[in-house]
Amino acid sequence: MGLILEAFVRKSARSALVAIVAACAATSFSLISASADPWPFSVPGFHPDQGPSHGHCFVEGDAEPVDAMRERMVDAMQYMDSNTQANLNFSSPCDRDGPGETDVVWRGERVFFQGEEVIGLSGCSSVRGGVCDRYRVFVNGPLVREHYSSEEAEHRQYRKTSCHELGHTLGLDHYATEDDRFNNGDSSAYNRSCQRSGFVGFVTDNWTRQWEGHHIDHINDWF
Amino acid sequence: MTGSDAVGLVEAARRCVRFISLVVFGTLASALLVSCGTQRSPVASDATETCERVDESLLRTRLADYEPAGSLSTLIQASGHDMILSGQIAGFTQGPIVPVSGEPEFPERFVVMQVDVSRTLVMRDERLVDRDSVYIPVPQGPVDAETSEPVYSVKAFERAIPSGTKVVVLAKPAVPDLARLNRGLPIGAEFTSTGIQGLFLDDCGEMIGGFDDVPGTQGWSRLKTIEQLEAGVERLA
Repeated sequence: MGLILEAFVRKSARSALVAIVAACAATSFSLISASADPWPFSVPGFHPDQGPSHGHCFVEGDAEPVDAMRERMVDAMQYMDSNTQANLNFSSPCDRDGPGETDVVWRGERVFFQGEEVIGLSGCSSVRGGVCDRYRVFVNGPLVREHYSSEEAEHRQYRKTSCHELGHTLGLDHYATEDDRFNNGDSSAYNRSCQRSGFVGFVTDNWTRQWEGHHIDHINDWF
Repeated sequence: MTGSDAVGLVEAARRCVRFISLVVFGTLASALLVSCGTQRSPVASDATETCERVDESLLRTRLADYEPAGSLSTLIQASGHDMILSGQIAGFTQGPIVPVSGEPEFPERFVVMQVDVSRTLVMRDERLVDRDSVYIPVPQGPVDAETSEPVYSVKAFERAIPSGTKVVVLAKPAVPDLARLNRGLPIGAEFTSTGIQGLFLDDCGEMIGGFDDVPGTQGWSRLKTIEQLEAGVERLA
């Protein structure tokens, strides 16, 4: 009788264990997909300003973006305005000094990082009151035009890199880094957000110009 | 049921509860660790006493959109490096200030990371053979809007990336904008660039990327430590 009861308890415990492990595994995957990249990206204290607007302007002079690029930069800002709590505010010329908003200064020239020519680059130029007051953002127009033979692909790349770099100014990190390994190396599993790095000018999917839901949640939680 | 049966049953139940608790706790802890990309594996207990953790975030005040190499062999083929070396961080100094057109009020500031070379893994340019150290310019990040002073000092970089940290560097000449400047360099020395993926650091037994995370693709998945990376480089060279 005792042995039967003991066997029953052990069997029940094993079943419970399988159920718990399965539940935990499901929770893990849900956590991974919900917050696969950190907020805010990397450097401490670089949240964007929580003022009502996330401003932007185009630098003047040699680095001024060409018209086709400016159009995609504005599209990215309008997408932000329509889909997050961050509001667009365009200044011309750049309103660089005022507190109360982060100013994104768009540039459209060749740009290198550690000797490597890159598609885009962003970084906080100045901090005021513990938040980033001004971001400098590059989209490398010459490199994009050399990379593609089709104007449509160039424009899609402008749009994707504008979305990607704007995401950094709002605190988003790269997407598809640490946890690709949970997808057996299938990095296409991260074709869900413009925060993914690289050339994607031949891809027409919406993800190349949008953020994933959890990115938008991060932004809205802050604004 | 006899008394000894009852004792055995209680003991079996106790073991089950203990085992389930361990599994549940372990699984939840693992989930929490991987849920944020910045949190890495805990340091092995035998390393904690002697090892200072690396805070790579100060190397990432500038983030790029670029085409990441999905494996070490792809990186080595594509990077255009002159040499691949292993060594140790020797320290940081204040580096050059590069003007930025259209934004004269905020030039780009750099600190200089000195790496003492302990071993040359790959050499493509014989002129570099006798080099004892390489000097890598690292963006210093933003300035304070009121004072124009850098938010992150040289000391902050030294705290974040401790001297003695083991590194592997894919080295190539700096771009002309930086190559003609020499602030922060000893006489006769030149700046070295690494490419975005060409700097790897040892973080208490775990290999991490410097200027961006090491991709999680299968091509990189077997390289967990700096020693494994060195062996991989030598195998591919």
